[in-house]
Amino acid sequence: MTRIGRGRLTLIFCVALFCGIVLVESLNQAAFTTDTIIGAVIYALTAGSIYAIAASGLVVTYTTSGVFNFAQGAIGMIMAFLYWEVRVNQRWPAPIALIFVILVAAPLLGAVIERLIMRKLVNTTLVVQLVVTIGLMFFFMGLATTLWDENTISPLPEFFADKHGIDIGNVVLTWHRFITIMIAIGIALFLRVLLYRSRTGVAMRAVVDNRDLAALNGAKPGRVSALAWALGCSMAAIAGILLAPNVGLRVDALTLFIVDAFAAAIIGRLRSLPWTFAGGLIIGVVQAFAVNFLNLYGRWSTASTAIPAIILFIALLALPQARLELGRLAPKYRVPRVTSVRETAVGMGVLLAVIILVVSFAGFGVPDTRRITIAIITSIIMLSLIPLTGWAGQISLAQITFVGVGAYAMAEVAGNSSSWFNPGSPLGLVAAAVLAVPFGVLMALPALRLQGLYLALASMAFAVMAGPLFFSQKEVYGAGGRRIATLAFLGIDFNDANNFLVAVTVIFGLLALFVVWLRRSAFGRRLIALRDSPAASATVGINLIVTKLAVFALAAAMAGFAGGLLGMYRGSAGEMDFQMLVGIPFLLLLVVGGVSCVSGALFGGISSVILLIIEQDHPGVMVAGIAIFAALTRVGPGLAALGVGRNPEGAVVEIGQAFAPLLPWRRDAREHMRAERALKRAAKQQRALLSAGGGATMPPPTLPAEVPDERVPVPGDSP
Amino acid sequence: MRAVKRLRWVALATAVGVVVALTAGTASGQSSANEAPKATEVGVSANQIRIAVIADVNTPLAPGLFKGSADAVQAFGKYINKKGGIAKRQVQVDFIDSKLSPDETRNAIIQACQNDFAIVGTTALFLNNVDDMIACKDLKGQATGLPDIPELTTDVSQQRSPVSFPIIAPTRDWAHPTPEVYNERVGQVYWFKKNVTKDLHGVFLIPGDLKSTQITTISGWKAMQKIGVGNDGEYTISGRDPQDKYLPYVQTLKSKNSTFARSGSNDVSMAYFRKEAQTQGVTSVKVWDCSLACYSQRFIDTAGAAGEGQYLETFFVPFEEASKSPPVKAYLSSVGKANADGFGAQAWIAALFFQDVVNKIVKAQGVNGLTRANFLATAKAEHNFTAQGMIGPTDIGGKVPGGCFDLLQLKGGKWVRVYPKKATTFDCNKRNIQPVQFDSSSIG
Repeated sequence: MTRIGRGRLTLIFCVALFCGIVLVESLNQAAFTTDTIIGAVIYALTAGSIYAIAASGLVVTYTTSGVFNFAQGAIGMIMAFLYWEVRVNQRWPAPIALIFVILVAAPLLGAVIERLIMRKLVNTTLVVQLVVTIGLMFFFMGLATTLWDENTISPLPEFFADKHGIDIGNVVLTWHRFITIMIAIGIALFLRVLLYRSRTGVAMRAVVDNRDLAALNGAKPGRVSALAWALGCSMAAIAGILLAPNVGLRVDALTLFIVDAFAAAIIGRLRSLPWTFAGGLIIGVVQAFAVNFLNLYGRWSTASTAIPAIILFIALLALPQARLELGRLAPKYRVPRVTSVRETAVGMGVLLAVIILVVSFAGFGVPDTRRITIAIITSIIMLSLIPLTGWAGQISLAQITFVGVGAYAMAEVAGNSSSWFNPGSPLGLVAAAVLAVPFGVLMALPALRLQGLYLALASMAFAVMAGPLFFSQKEVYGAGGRRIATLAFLGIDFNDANNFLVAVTVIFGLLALFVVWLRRSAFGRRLIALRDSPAASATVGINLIVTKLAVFALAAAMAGFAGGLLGMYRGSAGEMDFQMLVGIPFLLLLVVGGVSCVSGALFGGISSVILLIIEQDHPGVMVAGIAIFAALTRVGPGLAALGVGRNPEGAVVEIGQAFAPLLPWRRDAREHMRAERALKRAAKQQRALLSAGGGATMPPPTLPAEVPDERVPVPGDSP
Repeated sequence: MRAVKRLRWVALATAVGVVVALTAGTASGQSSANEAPKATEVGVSANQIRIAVIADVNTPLAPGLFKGSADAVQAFGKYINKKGGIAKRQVQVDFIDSKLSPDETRNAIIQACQNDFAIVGTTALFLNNVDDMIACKDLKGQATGLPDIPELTTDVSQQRSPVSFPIIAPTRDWAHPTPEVYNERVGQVYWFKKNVTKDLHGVFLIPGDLKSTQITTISGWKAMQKIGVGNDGEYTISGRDPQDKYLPYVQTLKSKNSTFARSGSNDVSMAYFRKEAQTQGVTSVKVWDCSLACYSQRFIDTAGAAGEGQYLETFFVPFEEASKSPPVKAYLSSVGKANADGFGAQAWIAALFFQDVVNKIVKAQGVNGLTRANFLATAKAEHNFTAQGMIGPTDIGGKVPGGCFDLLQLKGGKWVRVYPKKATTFDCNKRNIQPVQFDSSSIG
């Protein structure tokens, strides 16, 4: 048995043991009656059918385009709202409304998404693919919030709600539930026939196996992919419409319910539709079992909300890993040079000077000063993702969990007068970083086996589970939250918002210097190697396990440290403060700024606060009767993330490349700019020659090698 | 003779003293009434009083969550200004959105401390740090504190804050730290037992998304059990749960012939409970009970016909009786009937409390007696507040839970008063408050 195999088994055993303990503690033997069993079966079939429909759409799009659509739930949600609009608000007859939404609007949306966004992602990195689809999810959630008021919207009725259902024992199966189950079966059969008995299906499967080969044999991968996305969106729409009468037209609830279907897709290993349907049913059965036969109380009273995440986590660990159909990094863009520690020190000095000037002369009030402070703290959280995601290519959606752990450690160690140390002691920040490390290592254990998409999903499950299973415990945050005193150091009054801002800026600067130093160290180069080719890294003697564990521990420690600062800033922390959805914009905005450079983190932190300020101060700006800034903190990151497909390096790198030649000491940038211009001129001449019927075989112009200097150009940092 | 003379002198001296005192008192009263208003405190200028309403409104997580509260306090400002203002000054309401965010909530308090005299109708779920409120400095630089009249307090720190006077007092009795004692409102149960059925037993649904809401609902359920409601089953649910998930709870109702059912969660949860019960043909339940959460159009729309017969208890005069209650009428006409909701009504009551306290200060100390210190002292002494008849007598200053309630029932899609029969009245019997011991640490 390999070391990884043992680790995986140990982890599965631990999760299973935990679930077993909860099960034994909560099992309600008295609940086992014929009626409850029938009721459980009905619930399992109904919920399982919806999960299966949503997950099938996910699998169809993934297998044909190689892009895992995090926005599947949000698409289902927005289609449910659209169905409400035409069916209830515009009073269209149900069949016409259904045909319009499922067969027209949803496929059209799918085709548009594929054509405008997803097709460009085929050869990009997984980080970009994930960020774009998560951005799409946020965009749709924000759009629905902007267009419809879920507080006043009337409910969507069930199908045949006025008819008595089918009696099974003492339980009534409503027609809506019956239709849901039948539709799931129908879709399963339809997909089977489509994929195995039709030319389109054969083409779709061929594109899955080898896109280029399929194209050589006459298939049209683009069209096939668009069809798959149209199909996937239609299935999301069906799931959303069937779910909405049951869950209500609530943006978050509808979206997250379908997100729970990810576990079903993973059980199907993102390829097998029969297993995906089985996965949907497994989630339904487990939930039905929990609802009917467990009496979750006390410590585990919030655990039921984590069930789909637990299933997802176990599925990711237990099932054999499928080959990931992901595009490799295509080095289409210029390799950024690595910033020197000296340059970073100058940059951070400038930042500190600006902050001091602002504090001294801008005359900001305390709330505005605090907003700048939270921008810097958010930047520190984003900084923690740079080594992990920017350099090592390990995607974590659980960074917010480490922030929460750090805040807890701060509260415990130096939060108040009954803590171990004096309230606000810097030792609390050290403890925050240290305590987050074991959590980072715990998160790294799946990373030893999982990679790419699977790791991202595992981290998402980890973040979802942390809330109800860890943060809500009375020993952590419990019902009342925890008080956290502000920093107490060198006799300076950090209750003064200006002083605290300066302190946070200094900390950011020091951490940024550390990150840049780390990037230039052997460890930093190992991380880059790990991202570019794990196999090659192992071949040259890099210990992948140690490297992965180390980078996860480092990222967790930095996020924990930031959590300590966040706790001081807020003065308190509670169980609701560190939910998975709260943390996702951190990754989105970091990637938008530039995932591999410290200035990208600063850009992300400042952007998040600017969006918040616009949303806060201009909620009533109306365009065509719509309050366009009502959900800007969702629409904004979502839209920005969609742009990452066009500019994977991030906004800061792009801006830096444009302005670097203006800096007197950047001779290399100027020379490179001249080379690029020459290249463009050559290409233009070649096109002109070709159009004039001249030489057809002129070799394509190539970019000259990077100008050598003492800074070795390696992918991963700012220009 | 000498004794008589002495008595005369004493009488004369007393008479002179009384005359002097009376004259001085009148002069003082006249000067108070006639004195020109001036800036006396942060947020109080010669012609304006600034108050803030902090509420979670523009949040993508739950859009428009407490919009009713913000609307109500802002409408109160306009309403009171039309009537000439308070303390010879116009009222300016600053709405500060806390956005369901701990950061923005704390910023909001800091901002209010700098600009406003008090915060009124606060409804911020993430208000779990009152340090800035307590340490808020007044015009003289003293840490007097920022007066806070919230309608909703979810966190212990705000419940215990010396500067907060919630309209609905927390049920936890802090005089008994251990064992924990909760004073729960159970008045409606007595009425159910007397008028519907003595044999009350049923299912209670506990909102499981937050531990803090679990504690408050479980203690309420325990108090109901203490006065004779049988427990057929208690289940923890999530506010996100679909209607399908209510099937097992409905099956319990069915199998145990339950006569009572209550969801401690939101209006949608109660509506799904009702709908699933109707689907499964539950007929045994005589009392479907709900808190003020169900007093919403969303409950009526979502539950549809299944919601008929629903009971709910309110602690203020229901909107349906606006024609007989001037404050309710004023509230509805100020915000518009379509925008009125339970949160808004409570915020309006908070604004009336603010007005009441200010008026008392003016009466006692003149228009320039308006300081935060005076406000806090006067608010603390307010033990019998009725919001001009909109609520029953309530000890807001002492933070004692009020037992006054009236009971409504949904009939023909409309809420109808069933108890007390007379409009605008309440049952304020002392037994309506039931103390119960509950160890909150038992739920983790």
